[in-house]
Amino acid sequence: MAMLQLKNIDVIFNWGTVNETQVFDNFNLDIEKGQFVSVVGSNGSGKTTLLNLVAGNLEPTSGEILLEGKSILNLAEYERSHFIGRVFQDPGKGTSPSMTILENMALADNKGQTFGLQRGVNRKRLDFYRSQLEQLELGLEDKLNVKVGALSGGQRQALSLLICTLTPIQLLILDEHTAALDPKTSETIMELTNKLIQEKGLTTLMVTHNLRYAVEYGNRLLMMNKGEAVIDAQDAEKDKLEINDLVQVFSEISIELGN
Amino acid sequence: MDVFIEISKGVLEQGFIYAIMALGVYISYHVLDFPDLSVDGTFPLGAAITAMLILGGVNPWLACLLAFIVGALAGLVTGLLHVKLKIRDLLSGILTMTALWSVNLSIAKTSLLSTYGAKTIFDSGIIMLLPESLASWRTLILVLILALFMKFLLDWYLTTKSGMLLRAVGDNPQLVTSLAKNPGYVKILGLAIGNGFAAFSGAILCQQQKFFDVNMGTGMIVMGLASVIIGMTVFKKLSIIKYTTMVVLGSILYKGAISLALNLGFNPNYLKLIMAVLFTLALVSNNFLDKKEGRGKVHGHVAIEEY
Repeated sequence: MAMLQLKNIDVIFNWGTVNETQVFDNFNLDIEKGQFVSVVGSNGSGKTTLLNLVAGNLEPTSGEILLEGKSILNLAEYERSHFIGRVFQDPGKGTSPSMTILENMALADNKGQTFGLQRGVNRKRLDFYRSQLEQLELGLEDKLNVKVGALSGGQRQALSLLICTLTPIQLLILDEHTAALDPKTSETIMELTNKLIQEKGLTTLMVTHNLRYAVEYGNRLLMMNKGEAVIDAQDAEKDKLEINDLVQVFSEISIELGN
Repeated sequence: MDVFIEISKGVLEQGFIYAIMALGVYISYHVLDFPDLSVDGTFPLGAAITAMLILGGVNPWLACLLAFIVGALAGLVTGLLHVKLKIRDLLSGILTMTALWSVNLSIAKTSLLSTYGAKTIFDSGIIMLLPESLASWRTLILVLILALFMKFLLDWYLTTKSGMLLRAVGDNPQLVTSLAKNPGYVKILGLAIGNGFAAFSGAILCQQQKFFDVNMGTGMIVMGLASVIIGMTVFKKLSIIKYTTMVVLGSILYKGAISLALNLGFNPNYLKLIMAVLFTLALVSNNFLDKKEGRGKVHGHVAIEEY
């Protein structure tokens, strides 16, 4: 059974007004367990809408969304967080800047449990946090008591990734998560992302504007246009894809749209 | 010299009592990043409840506790207005504050109620164990202990799991969502605690001054904010002391400045004007210091260093 299924999804914004726009018309998508899907496409192609639908920021006009065969449509965004982790474009969104690295790790560690009056930071977990932070190879394990607000964008994004995947999740959503970083940091974060995904065998949905990342990473590639997947290549087929192929389709689409 | 001691004692007594309210404002304004005006209503709410309870012979400590609980319920209302009915933060507070005016009048049944003769925490129970020679210091000693107790209680709470979630929601609500918790509920909890503190402070003031006045809440939010901001501006260099300590000290400084102005012969009619000027000075110097130190991140007008 597919890990994530979107069935007959319609999304219409401003329904019944002059500004009515249909983003999805009977859109279907199945993502298998362990698949790492990269989604590319121009602005307005429906990539972000897709993520918002899955994460729970947006309700479809009609259709069904299933995670491991169970409908998640009636769950609020925070309830879906039990199963779905999300890393945003803005590195500030995944962490609490006024709290220390240690406190951020402790919060993440407690996800899915009650937040009662127990001590917030469990000292017995320090070694575990350190070993997790070591994987990032940024030396954050020696800065446990530094406030996250004092870290660079790249460090914060790496920490966001770790926090998001610290407790088991069924689906990881990457929302242009390297777009706000400089090219070198972006590269580091992408490699780190790939490493974490492989290690934990995470099913992943990644939206990116970087065609090279889409080609290099993951085992499935979707190119979206006007709410449809104009390219959907998996495994061997995907391996054959090159940036130039994508660029060609991309420019054809753009010409069509008159850009 | 005696006059000076008397004035200082008065300033400290008032400073510590209002510091508890300021700690409540610190929770809403600084930790939650929520400008909560309900405080103007919950402070006298605590006083009204206490006045009625102690006049009815209820243990004055129990009265304080009940005041805290009812204040927290009022904060809960503000939170529900904001989170459930999607009313803007400022307006939610104004609505609760306005409604509480009538609530307070209906509890006390009059706009000015003397509690003279009723037992208070200042003249009964544990405080009477102090030797007679310290009798004139009883009030100060008790409010000092109470303010410190509430400060340490808050310090402790903010390091618990629940408290850490509270700090996270003011900082980055999305993180709370990602932790599979409803950020709205966490905000409501924070507002309840903040207003519990305000009502508790009102309960103590009522017992100390031996009357309830329906107007006693007017300007509380300004006083609370001024204490928070003055404290943080003046002591921000001392990174070893906690923000909650700065708030308590800020409250005393604020009361000291007002007292100084009045003793220098300012017309009491200008009291509110002096309050506003002091507040402005604190805000401006805070922003000025931020700029000078090249601090980029300004959050709710106060740069974040610690929770």
